[in-house]
Amino acid sequence: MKREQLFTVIGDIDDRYIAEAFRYAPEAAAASPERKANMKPKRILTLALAAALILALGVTAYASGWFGLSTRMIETEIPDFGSSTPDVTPAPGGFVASNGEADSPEAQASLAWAKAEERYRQADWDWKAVDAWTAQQEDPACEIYHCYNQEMLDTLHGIAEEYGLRLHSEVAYPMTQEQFKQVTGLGDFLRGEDNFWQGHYIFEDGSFKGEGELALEGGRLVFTLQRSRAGVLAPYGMYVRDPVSYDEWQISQDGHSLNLALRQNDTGFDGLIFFHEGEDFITLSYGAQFVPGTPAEFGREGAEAVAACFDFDALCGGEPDLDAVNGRTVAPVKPKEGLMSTADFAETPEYQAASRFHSAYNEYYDARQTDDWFVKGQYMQEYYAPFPTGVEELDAVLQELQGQYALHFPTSVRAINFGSWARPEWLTSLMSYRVPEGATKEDFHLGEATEEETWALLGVENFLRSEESYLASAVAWDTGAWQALIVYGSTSYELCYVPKGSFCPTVRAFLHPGAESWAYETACGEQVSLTVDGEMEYPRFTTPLGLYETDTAYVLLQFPGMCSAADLQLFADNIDFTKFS
Amino acid sequence: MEDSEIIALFYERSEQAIVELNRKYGTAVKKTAANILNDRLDVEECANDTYLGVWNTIPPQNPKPLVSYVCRIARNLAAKKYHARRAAKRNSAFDAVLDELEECIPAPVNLEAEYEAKELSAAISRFLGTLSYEDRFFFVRRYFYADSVSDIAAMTQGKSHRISVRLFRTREKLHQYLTEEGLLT
Repeated sequence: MKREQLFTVIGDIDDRYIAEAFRYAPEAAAASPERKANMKPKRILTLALAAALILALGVTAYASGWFGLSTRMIETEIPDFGSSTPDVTPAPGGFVASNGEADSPEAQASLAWAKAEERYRQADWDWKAVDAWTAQQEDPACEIYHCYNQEMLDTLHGIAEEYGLRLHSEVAYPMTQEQFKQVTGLGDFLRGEDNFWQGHYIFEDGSFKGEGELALEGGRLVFTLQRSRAGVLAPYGMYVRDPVSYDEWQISQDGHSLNLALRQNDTGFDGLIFFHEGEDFITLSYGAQFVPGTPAEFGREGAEAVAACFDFDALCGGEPDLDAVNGRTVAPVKPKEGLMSTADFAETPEYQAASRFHSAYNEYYDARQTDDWFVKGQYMQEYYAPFPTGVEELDAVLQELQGQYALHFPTSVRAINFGSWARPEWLTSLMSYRVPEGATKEDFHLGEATEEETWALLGVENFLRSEESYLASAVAWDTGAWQALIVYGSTSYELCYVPKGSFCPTVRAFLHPGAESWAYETACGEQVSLTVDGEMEYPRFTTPLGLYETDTAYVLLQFPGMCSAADLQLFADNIDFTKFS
Repeated sequence: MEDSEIIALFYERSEQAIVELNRKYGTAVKKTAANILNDRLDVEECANDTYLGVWNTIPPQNPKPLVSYVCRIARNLAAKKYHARRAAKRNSAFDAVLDELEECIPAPVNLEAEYEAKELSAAISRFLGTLSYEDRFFFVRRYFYADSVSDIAAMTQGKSHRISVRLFRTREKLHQYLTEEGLLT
């Protein structure tokens, strides 16, 4: 059964039970017949004593420093992260900073900032005002520490100053594992071929955070990995609930001492690994999702298997080089004879007709939005339904275009969306869809689609060069035109194939049609023309484009939004353009 | 404000309806969305979409209880946004909720017919009626609201491990119940 179907089935349970669970009523629990039937007075007393004993042992153990978590954790109340029972007593627990022992200025400052952030998080923000303010800020701390106004920024600086710490001054967002290695100076630290890691961001001092998956016996395990360094106010820490429930111990691995913590639940576990060497603090957290269908017996052996997946030596050191990502530059080459520029493409009937329809559709869509939160003028909606549209004003545009341009207009369309055949007319982009009134989400999916079927829909061999990328979604028209969503590392972009003489409705209009483009030699040896389409004009995004021309078609690399020239080159390098005819 | 008064404001098409709805259930809406979505801005967007959904459907709807109606909309919108953006963002906690559900209903069930989905929902509702208050509370918080076990423990002043074990046993009972009802092969 599809997971999404299960989620929907649960969503349709009796309203009474949904309402009943809105707020916990201890008196109802006490009155529950089942509870009364199972509990005998003598046993209650015994359990109460046992619970008190266990709690006392736990407190004693923490006080004596038996467990590694105690040296890192500051006892504090866990804040209410928007619980639906706001009157619940905040949970006891602790805060673990990513770069210091509990009594260090790093840990104290990190907690102070987390508490301040929590207060600000609960406020009602005018997000348009926040966007406008952050766009004007040059202090990199705004972005790194998620400051929404001057008061937050001043609070942040005040905390850093109070504890004698500096703030991070630069961040890079590696999109691929290859970029992560370049920017951290680290080699492979993850053992095992089927294990996966994606570094999300790295700071100027080499601190970083990311996520990954481990393939262990019986299942896959998701983990979060942080490396932080002393002397800085780290922008992330971790709350730990009910720390006494953890089993904690130390192991020796590769000549290093690791502190492990683990607690079981019925589907798996949640665990922590702490390692400290020199100025590097490594925190690994992982949780549940293990051996579906059986109770988890993970235990210490499993936790140590997790630890064994990492070479902790290889996680330390390294010379960070954020320029490897942030310092990438445009690399133009001399255009080969006959290379079509993006400005030339803007003169073609294929671009003229399609971009006019794309704009008309977005203007039609925007005119019908009446909510305050909807930002008009972004031109981010896509039309995937059949033609004619059935909408008078849009079909009028189509008729005009059909009269003006001798193009082959599509009459049918098919779509595959994240592994299932789907209704293209419900798609609003390659990543999202809208369910019409009266229909259900399940009606969108028309059956499973394999990777082979997805490539067959496009009618082309696999053109992706990196093992870190895959084809996620595709729409194909009966004209031979198609549009595909490519996931590459932590990002995604689109490739559009437009046979010459055909109309493809997803070709977007440039914001700056005369914007400069450059010739770029891609990794496959073919030249393309690239343009980032100038500066954004809020709210309208630019249309970064990569253009490759064959004898019979245009291949368009489109990024929905803004991207840098260097990223556009990276995306182009991921495509083997020799596969297109 | 009572639910009936809030619904009356919707019927009057008064914008105060949204204000009162947010005041009473805004935290629940955001919590439900946040359990599924990993991104603060996505949660805000989902909350706004939820209020829009309620505004567009009341009237003619006159839901009782209102909280179930609102949270169901928030839940569905959050799940939709999650699946739409899962290429870029994952929420392992939400994936864990789906995995647990899949675990207790592993046999293939034909859900292409809408009535079979509703039949399964009704059977699960009947099953929930056989449970103690606490087991039912744990189940609905975990699988409807997608709360983490830790959050449920915080709400109930309980221990995470105990709640996890109770959920596991409830799922075993659900599997047996659905098998006896003839809904699982």
